[in-house]
Amino acid sequence: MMAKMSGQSIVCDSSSLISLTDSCFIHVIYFLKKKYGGRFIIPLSVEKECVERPLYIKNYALHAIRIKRAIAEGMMDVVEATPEKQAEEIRFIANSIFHVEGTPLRLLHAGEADVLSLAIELGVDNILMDERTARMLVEAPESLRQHLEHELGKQIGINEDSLSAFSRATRKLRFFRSTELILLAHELGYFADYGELEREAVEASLYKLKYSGCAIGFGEIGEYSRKHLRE
Amino acid sequence: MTLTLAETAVLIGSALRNHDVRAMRKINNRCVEETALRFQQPTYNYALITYVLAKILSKPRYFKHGQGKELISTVDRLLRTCEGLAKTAEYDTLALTQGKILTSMEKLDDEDRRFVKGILQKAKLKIASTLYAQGISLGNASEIAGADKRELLLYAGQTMMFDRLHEKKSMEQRMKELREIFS
Repeated sequence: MMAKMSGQSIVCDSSSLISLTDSCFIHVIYFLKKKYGGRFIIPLSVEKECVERPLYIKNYALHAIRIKRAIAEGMMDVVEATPEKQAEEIRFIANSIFHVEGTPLRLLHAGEADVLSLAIELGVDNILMDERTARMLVEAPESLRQHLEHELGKQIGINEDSLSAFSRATRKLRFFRSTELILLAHELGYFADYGELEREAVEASLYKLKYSGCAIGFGEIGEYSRKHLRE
Repeated sequence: MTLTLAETAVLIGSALRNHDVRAMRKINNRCVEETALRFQQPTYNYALITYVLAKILSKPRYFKHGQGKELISTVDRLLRTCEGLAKTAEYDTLALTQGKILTSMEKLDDEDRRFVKGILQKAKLKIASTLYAQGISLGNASEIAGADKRELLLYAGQTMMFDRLHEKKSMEQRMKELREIFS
């Protein structure tokens, strides 16, 4: 059993690290790290995805270098994933929740299961994840079922036993996206040097993260900006 | 109703001979949906083949020097082979023949390459994006389609897919929780 982490620690998925580096916001992690006692934790599999592999792809090497440097400077901690069996179990349960005509729908990937199981193992309730499906599976499985039904034009059944086992395992987890991380940084003064352009810069940053793959709708950004950034 | 692998080959061949882009796209949609429901390599290969064929048929530049016409005849012949192999359940050879179709189409694109990303890579990315939009996770979609996860994420960001499914938790709720954690 690994040591329990601070309540301010966050386990990060590769999707958020990709959005943040693509938007040149990796320094938000440096900024927040200096303000809080928590750790930004990434499983080994996420490091492989975000550093090792893209390091040799011309288009993405710079992103990989940024993350590699952040790890080397202690801004993010790479933690060996939980015993493979545990991640595999989470994945197996998740992939047996929905079924179509008797066939289970394979929704979750090993990398996403790694993030969930590592958070559970470390007792870290906070997950930074821009990917949509894994997040929806934990937060709103019924909405996801309806969405799948609509998209695939087939009736999607639920295996209640799998769903309750999955919900029990993941009930404490809270998900945040890179957009919320940017807003938190903004509230702490990250954009202060933009002066009177500060709020516009924050709104523009949210859109930039959206275009970089963060699973957030235009409507959601627009509504938040109207209420909190443009008044 | 689900199509068999042999029926799919016949339908693709017919759409190809008729230069019917719409029919080709329809077959592509069916193959992608089938891939999301129960992944099978031959069905996914058909999804790739139909995507690329629809692109080729809709672009006159591929037919300027006769290579397009030549390709159609090669692919048509190989599709007939696919039909036979599917009927006799020779799935390994079927996958190899589908691979030959994909290689011949890629070669055509390479001869007059306009973008860094080739037509086959683009097809993989587009299919992965559709799978992700349908509800398959990002990692699974990229693995199934053989597309790079990073590219898929960036591609998905340029689409409207995140406006098609409303989040249960609002940004305000998430912010409230985040402030509590970091207070």
